[in-house]
Amino acid sequence: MNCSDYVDALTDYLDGNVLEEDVHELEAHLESCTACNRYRAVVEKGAELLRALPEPELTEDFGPRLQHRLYHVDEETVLYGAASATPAMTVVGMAFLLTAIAWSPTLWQGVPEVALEPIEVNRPFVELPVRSASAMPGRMPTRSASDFERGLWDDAHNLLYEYSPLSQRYRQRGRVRRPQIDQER
Amino acid sequence: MARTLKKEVVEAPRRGTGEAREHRQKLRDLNDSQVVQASLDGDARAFGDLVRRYDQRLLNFVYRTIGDRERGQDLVQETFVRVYRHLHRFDQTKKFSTWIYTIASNLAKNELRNRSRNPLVLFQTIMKNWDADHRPLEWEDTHYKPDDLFRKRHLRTKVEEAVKQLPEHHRIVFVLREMEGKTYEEIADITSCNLGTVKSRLNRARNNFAQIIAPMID
Repeated sequence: MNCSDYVDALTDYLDGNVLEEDVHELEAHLESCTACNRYRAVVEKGAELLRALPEPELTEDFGPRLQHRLYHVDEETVLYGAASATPAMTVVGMAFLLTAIAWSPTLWQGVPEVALEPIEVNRPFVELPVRSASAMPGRMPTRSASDFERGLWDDAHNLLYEYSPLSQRYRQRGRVRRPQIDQER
Repeated sequence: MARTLKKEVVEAPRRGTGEAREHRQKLRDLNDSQVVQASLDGDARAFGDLVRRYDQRLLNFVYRTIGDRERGQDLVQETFVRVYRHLHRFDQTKKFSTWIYTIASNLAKNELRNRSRNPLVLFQTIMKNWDADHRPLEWEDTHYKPDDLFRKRHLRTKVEEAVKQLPEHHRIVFVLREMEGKTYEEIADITSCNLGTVKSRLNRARNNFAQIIAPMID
């Protein structure tokens, strides 16, 4: 046995968890090794000093304070403990009931069937006019793609005016002023 | 009390009467498990007996673990409050002492964790030597020489510091073994570690502790 083995085994040895033959081996090493002898003495003395340390004393108010806190625990238990279980169960029950009511038509009658109009597929496919990105206001139209686009964007200024806030404003003003005009007439 | 409201109340005899003394003595003769059962059955004095059994031991353990007496006392209070609140959940096939030490140990660990997150200088650390410097004059004790007294006090301080220097997880195992005399199995239960970990931590803690205090020991 070397010193490292001894140090590893010392904890078990001090706590009496070593087999009889190992004890003899450890003691034999201890007789021949001064360093391990010293180490063991330090560990044992250290433990002794540790146990001799004065115990911290409880302050006088420890008992009353604890009693006070326990009293509040009791209060909590009385106020919320017994009562808290009942509302929780009630809420769960209510939720279940409402869910059952909400789903009841589906559960009892099954999924409702909706009759859709038949789609006619014999008619030739008509391509809908699509406005190209280049024809958007603010962009220079390169070339009109269809009659629809030409009709729509021929008079872009009017179109812009029509939908601008300015026209809305004039329209509002006109509506407000109309009674006055009628009076003049 | 809530517990006594729920169950049949076992009336505690009035304080100071002979009957009360007898009742207290009867409780003292019981083991932990029986006192726990008595408390659950509504004996108003039973929980007080549990507090009496463990308050000092827990304070010593928590104080050695966190190194602050005032805070240690708060944590011991918290331990008892939790025990009181959850006593009905305690598995009575297990040891009560292991359970209560587990709660105290967890609170102590949380305290150390919180401190490492929010470091602050403890008043106690600042006033460490206050007691020694401001102690009122005492009559001379002829039994000890001043040198001996000083040396003893110095050694005590160094030993306490040596415990504080150990890493947290080593310290808890070390204190439980060396000061509280817990078995390896109990320590394993309290710290939620396996036996091998307990052994290795204890060995390392003893080794570190020995290295720190070696220069002070002749």
